[in-house]
Amino acid sequence: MQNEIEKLSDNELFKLLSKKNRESEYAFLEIYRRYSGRIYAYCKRFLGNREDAMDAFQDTFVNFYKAADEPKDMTNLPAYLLRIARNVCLNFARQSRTTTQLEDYMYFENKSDQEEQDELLGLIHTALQQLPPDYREAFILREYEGMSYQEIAELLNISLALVKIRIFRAKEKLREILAPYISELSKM
Amino acid sequence: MDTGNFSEKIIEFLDGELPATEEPNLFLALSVNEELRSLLKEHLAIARSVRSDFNSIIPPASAVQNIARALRFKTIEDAGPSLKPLFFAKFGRTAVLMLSTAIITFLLTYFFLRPETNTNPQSPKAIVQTPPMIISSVESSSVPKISSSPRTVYIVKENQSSDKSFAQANNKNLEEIEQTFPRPTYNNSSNNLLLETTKQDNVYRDRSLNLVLSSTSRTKNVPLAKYPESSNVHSGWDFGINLRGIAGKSFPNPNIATSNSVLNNVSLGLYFTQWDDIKFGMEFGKELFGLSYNNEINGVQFAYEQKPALFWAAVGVDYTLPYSFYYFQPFVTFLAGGSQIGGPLVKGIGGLRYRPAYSNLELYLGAEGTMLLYQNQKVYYLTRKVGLTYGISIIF
Repeated sequence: MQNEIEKLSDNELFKLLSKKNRESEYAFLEIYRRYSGRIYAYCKRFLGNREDAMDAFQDTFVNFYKAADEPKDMTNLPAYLLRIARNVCLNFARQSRTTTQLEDYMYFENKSDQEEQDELLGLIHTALQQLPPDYREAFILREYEGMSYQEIAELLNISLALVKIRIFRAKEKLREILAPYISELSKM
Repeated sequence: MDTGNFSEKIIEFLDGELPATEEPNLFLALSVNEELRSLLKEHLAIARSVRSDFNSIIPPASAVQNIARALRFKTIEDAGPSLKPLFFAKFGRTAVLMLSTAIITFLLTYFFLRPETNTNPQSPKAIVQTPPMIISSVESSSVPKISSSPRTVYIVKENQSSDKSFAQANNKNLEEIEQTFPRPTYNNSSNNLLLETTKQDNVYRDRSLNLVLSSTSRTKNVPLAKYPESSNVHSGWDFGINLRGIAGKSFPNPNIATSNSVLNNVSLGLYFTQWDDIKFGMEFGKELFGLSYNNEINGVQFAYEQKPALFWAAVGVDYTLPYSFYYFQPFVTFLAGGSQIGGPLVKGIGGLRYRPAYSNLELYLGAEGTMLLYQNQKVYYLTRKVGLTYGISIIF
């Protein structure tokens, strides 16, 4: 049965979910296998801390399964999952507003290229949390989810122009935050 | 030149969203504007870092279990971590049998075969087992002398008169005329108790022959078992119960919050003293173990980390080294058994025992190393632990 499930398309899997039987559980597992990494990454980057991300990630899949109560067509399953994840994350973000000082994260020592890269990644994660949620969301969808501006516009239900503005401002803001550190790293 | 406008175009270009018709203008601006080139470098550095981060986030393995529980799935729970209590499933009956045997043996030996004790202050619990030489002679010229070779061997118990049944047991026609048996004396020198020679004539009358027989009972100098001066002297069936705590670090050691209570790291043991310095026994314990293993669910490998408090059981041997310093004695213990999730499990303990004079209590402190091998989905994993152990024994 597992082999057969693996061959099904996202749309076929989604239709199976509404059966709420053993078959639907296998279909859910297959969807989880395909997209759990992306969704967890989204939650982690959006919320910035592991505990909230874990809770949001689990809520996303629980809500997703519960919502699939009728066999309707699903044209873009990952986008649908992302939309659920986004709503869950926004709720979490409203509930817990934690801030991290970028300076707390910084320490300069002699580091290898990989260590520098890791350090920059850490800085980006921290800086992301300092962005307004709208900008952060657009940035994550573009950079981490690899979605086009058009797809983001459809997912967020906003205009293409607004997507461009949010992404531009997010990146500019990030660059401004990180510029001193990037130049410092490039000198070493 | 409007840097802000070009900054926007740089981002669109890096995102692949800049119309091809606008690219020449951007390239021209970059070629002449140092500030724009710095902007490009900074955006590129960020983009490069972000893209290298694509596969680095994996959902925790426990997430799928939590989701399955929330949705009351049967499928995922079936496919979940299969750390079943392999040890007790496989060896439960054997373990129960061993335990039952140990309890029955203990009860039998304790209540029926337990050697008698006495109150000799020089050796509080000593039981002297010495074969007196019985030499008989006949006080009659008409009857040849009875062989002077030992006729029998019997047990003389300290502080008791000789066994009255001796004469009857060896010759029913013998009638006791007089029978005394003085208490043996002891010479305590250099930890050796010497039972000194005793001599006694026992006189019997043979009713059938109307003869008087005289038997002389002697005991040899018998060195008694050597014990530390301050210790009680144990017979071969002494046993002790020990309760010990374990404080150790597990490798691997997942960063999972646990209730690291004393009751989660404790062991109860029952040991029999087979020889003076060697004990055999068994222990049952509960202990926190860090586990790190993989689980395949629907063809997907999930990495699991757990830190459960596992029950374990083992048989062991304990050796007390022949050195002592005041009331301290070094010891080593080796245990082998299994745990709730499989095995084998082996433990090595080394440390010091403290046993005050005339006390039935022992305190001990030592270092402990543990290795637990367990299996999940036909793959073996090893967890090691090192730490301290401390406890108390009651010797019966």
